[in-house]
Amino acid sequence: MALTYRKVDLLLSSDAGGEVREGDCLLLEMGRSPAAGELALVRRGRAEALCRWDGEGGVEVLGVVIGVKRKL
Amino acid sequence: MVEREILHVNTDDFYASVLRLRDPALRKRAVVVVGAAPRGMVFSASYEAREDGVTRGMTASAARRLSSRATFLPPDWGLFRRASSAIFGVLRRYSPVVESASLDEGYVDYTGCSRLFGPALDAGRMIKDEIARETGLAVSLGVASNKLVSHVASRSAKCANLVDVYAGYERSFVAPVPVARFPLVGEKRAPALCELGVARVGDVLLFTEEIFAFCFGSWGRRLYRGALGEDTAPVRTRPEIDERFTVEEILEPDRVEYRFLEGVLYRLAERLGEKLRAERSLAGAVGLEVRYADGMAAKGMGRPGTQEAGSAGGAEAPASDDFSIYEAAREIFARAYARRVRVRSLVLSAGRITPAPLQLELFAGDREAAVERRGKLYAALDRLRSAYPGRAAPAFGRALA
Repeated sequence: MALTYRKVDLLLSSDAGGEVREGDCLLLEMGRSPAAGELALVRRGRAEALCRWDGEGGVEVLGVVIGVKRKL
Repeated sequence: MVEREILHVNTDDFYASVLRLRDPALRKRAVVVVGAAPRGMVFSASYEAREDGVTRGMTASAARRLSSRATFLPPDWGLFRRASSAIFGVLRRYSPVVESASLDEGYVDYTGCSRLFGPALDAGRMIKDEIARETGLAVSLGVASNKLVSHVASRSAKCANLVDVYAGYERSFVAPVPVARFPLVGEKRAPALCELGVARVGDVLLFTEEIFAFCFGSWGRRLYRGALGEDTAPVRTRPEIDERFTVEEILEPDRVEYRFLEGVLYRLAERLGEKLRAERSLAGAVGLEVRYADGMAAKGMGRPGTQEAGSAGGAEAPASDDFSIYEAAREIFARAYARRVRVRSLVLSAGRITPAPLQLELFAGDREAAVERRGKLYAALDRLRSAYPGRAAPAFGRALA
């Protein structure tokens, strides 16, 4: 089970509906597929997006969001 | 059931940062806090000194060899305690349930407080800003559904960051943490786990809970639960210690004999009692900190019991007499002094201070008469001690150890 951080840019922060902000780091759990309703970072085509997982096809799962790190 | 929200607040490089506030010339320089020479051991090392290989618990001479650029300073406990009390003062504005784990770290039960201060992420920013404004110190914060995971989170939040672990993901979060860095394990117990092939917390779950309980007893069971990201320990509010009523004795040389340390404890109880009586105050709580020679410390809190004349026990009530303070301190000491390691110093303090009543009972019974007699005895003792300070003062036998 590996964890990694991914910095949130403006586009990602707008996906998350206020849950995370630009500049935050998402704490991602890699190497497993998300369960329904989990917040996941996915790649659709060339764009990355945050979404609540509903089993949609045609996307690559980059990780499940398990937390957030914010610079104080 | 309401999901708990626990904040773990950890001051970055507390001891060095506090000393830097006193002397700004130390800023960005390696600072090592050591006990008195020649037995001095490293109590704390700044991040810069740690880069040179200096670690807590090593001898001062070894630290000097490793880091010639570092400034070596003795601890200033009064200053550390004042800084710590300012930090906890800020934390208590955000929740009534605050637990002090040590001078530089503590837990805040933020459950339900988001209605007042917003989500924990935002409250974390406000806490950090207020602490920085009022003390000049930086803190890191961890937010999780229990104390254990919030502690791990704040460690990964260093420096001046906040890590919020979403509820339900505690197990995933702690799994990659090396066991030596897990709060329940530490560097001493890690080798025993490594022999089992457990290098990371997630590896614990390769075994069953029963195997861990068989190998390591109740600690093994706790560790297994911890590896699942579970911890049901509540945040316990401890009575606030009043800085005015703190006494310390540094032992020269370090001592390990239980009876001797009990004697020291009695001397401290006498000094604390004298301070309380001089201020016409009563202590509702007594705190004791045992500082070991290797830099580790253990502490506890208790309540003094007013000793009835001629009886072994007594009711728990605010007190200022030496025996009541000593009995409470001795009980805490029995719990706190768990390591067979030499003790460097003992710190006794009083909390929950209330003013001593001036008015005596009109229809005094036996109990009130005994209290009055004891009051007169201590008043006489205090006068004698101020007239003959030091070892010449009248003392009880147990204080002469």
